[in-house]
Amino acid sequence: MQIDDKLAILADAAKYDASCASSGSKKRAGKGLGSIASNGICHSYTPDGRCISLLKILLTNFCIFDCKYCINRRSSDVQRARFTVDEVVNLTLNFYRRNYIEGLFLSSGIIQNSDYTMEQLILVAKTLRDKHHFKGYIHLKTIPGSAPELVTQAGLYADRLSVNIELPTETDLAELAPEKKRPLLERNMQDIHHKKLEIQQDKKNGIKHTPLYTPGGQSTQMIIGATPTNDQQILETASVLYQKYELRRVYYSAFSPIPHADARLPIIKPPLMREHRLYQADWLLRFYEYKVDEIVSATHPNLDIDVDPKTSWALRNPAYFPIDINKASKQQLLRVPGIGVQSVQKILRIRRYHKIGFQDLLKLNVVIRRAKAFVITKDYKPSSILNQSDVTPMTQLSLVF
Amino acid sequence: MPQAVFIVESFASWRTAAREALQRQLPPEYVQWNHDAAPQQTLFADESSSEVVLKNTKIHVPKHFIELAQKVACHSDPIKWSLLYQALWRLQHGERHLLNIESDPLVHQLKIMQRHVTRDCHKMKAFVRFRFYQDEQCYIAWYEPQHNVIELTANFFKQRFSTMTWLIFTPYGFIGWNQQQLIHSTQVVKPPENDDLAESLWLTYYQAIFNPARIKTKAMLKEMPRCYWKNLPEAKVIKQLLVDAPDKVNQMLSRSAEN
Repeated sequence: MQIDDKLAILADAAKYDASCASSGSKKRAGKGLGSIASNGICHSYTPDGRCISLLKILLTNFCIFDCKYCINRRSSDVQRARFTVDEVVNLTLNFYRRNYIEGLFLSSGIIQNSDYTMEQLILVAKTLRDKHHFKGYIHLKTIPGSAPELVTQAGLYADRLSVNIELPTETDLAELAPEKKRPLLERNMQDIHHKKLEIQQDKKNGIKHTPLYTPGGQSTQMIIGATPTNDQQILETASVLYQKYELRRVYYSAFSPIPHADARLPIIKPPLMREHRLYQADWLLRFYEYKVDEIVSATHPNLDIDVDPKTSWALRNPAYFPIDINKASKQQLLRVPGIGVQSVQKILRIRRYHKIGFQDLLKLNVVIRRAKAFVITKDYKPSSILNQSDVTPMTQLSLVF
Repeated sequence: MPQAVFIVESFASWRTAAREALQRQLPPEYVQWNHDAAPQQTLFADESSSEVVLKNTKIHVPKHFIELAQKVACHSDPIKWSLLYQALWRLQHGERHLLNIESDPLVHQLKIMQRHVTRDCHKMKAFVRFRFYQDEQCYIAWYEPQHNVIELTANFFKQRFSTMTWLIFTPYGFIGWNQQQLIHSTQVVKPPENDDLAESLWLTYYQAIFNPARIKTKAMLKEMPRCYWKNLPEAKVIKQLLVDAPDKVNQMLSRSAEN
């Protein structure tokens, strides 16, 4: 099989992994091809709105597992291919030299067993680093159940490791991915996390020249909408993973129809808006000091589709508002719909010099149509809408002032 | 009525002129700034520009201002010189904290221009596409930035591609690296045409990684506006991908239903 045909098959097979991030890593010492851009660089965009930052491929799509949602499962009749280590290495280098990519995101179907597969992935990374002195970004998928020493080795070559949690609950896993067990997946996450802590401790103890170990952290992915699991369960799982293993990111991937799908799967269009709302909620957890039970709860288990989660919280908590832009604390400002982290910083800076008026908000990247029902400035007060006890849908919130 | 006319073309020449204008105590409304589109080559010569104190004078400005001015100086709108002088004047006349007040119309406008330039630098780092040129054993690219950011991005390309010989040609001149030193010229040169086999593999990858079941063209266009398309090899397959997408999805859905 020609390299072009393999690439078509093994990129197609890799596209259901949402992550393409190349940010947050550290520079590697020494001379060689490549560098790390701290904020990452998206080199292209496809018409699905996703960015291309990394060459995202599988080493092979042969697989001994039979996960129902996966195009590469054992029982699928998809066409199979396998790259050699050198083919992946050369593709990465050739793409990198032409400035198509920031680096490589390599995953694989499981062949022979987990350890063998993991060793093959490590060999690609090792060849790039040791033989070609490649300093660009490498993200390796951790094969479920691979040995801790392999995970350690992978982390020394990779900028990022990821273990996909795949589905939000153990019941979901049992139903659709019988070979993947939550404890097994979490053990890999724990191995990565422990090694990272160990190296941090060495550094604290004054050991010099500690190696770079997954400087870009670890991430995971959950498929959304393949099972009836609600957003509360999804966000609780995410929140636990963030805390336990200090994950850099949780990716939510709207279940997308695949060729040759298993009959147990829903025949649906990918729930893209739900995916978007989950990312917004995830942002609130990580950067806006919200707790899961403030965003979703037993009485409100799913995110609203027509209102973003921040506005949704504000509408359910009218007593919290309006917020005085000139007096409120940082925490209070972060709760105002339409005001982001950067706008909050600007507001806090400007307040030291003069009182903020309504027109000033326009220049601080505040989304006025969202914020105006919730804020007071030196020359503006919202009308009494927030005193109404019933929650008002977004469309009725446009006020005249 | 302007009392002084300065002709400037770069941050360095603007700084020299602005220093003189300040010493002569010329308020902004008395100074006219003309942009010289075809300057003498002065780039890469002045490494001292990050200093916080403007040389030979007692003019102190916040470090932020120098950073802002260096970026804004690359903007394509010639009004930049006059805006920068207005800001400099106000910094010297009782408004030392001016740059912290982003709600001020002048600061707001300058920050927008700074953002344009920063974004354009980022896009240049992302969208330059090298082709391997066999005859010279080097990598070459033609790229059209929205602003004159080639000097601002030169170090990035040098660090990243330090083990390659490369040249990037643009309508603002070209930059290059021969594995020993950076070169820069304001001369506009069109690179030779040549094919690179890697490009067809790149198109294969671009088409295969696209998911036809989740079309979001608005999101794509927001980050990759059409003005960049003509120098991106992958852009020429976008139209066909969108035309073919509905059929591909229907095939998947109907085959799923059969199972």
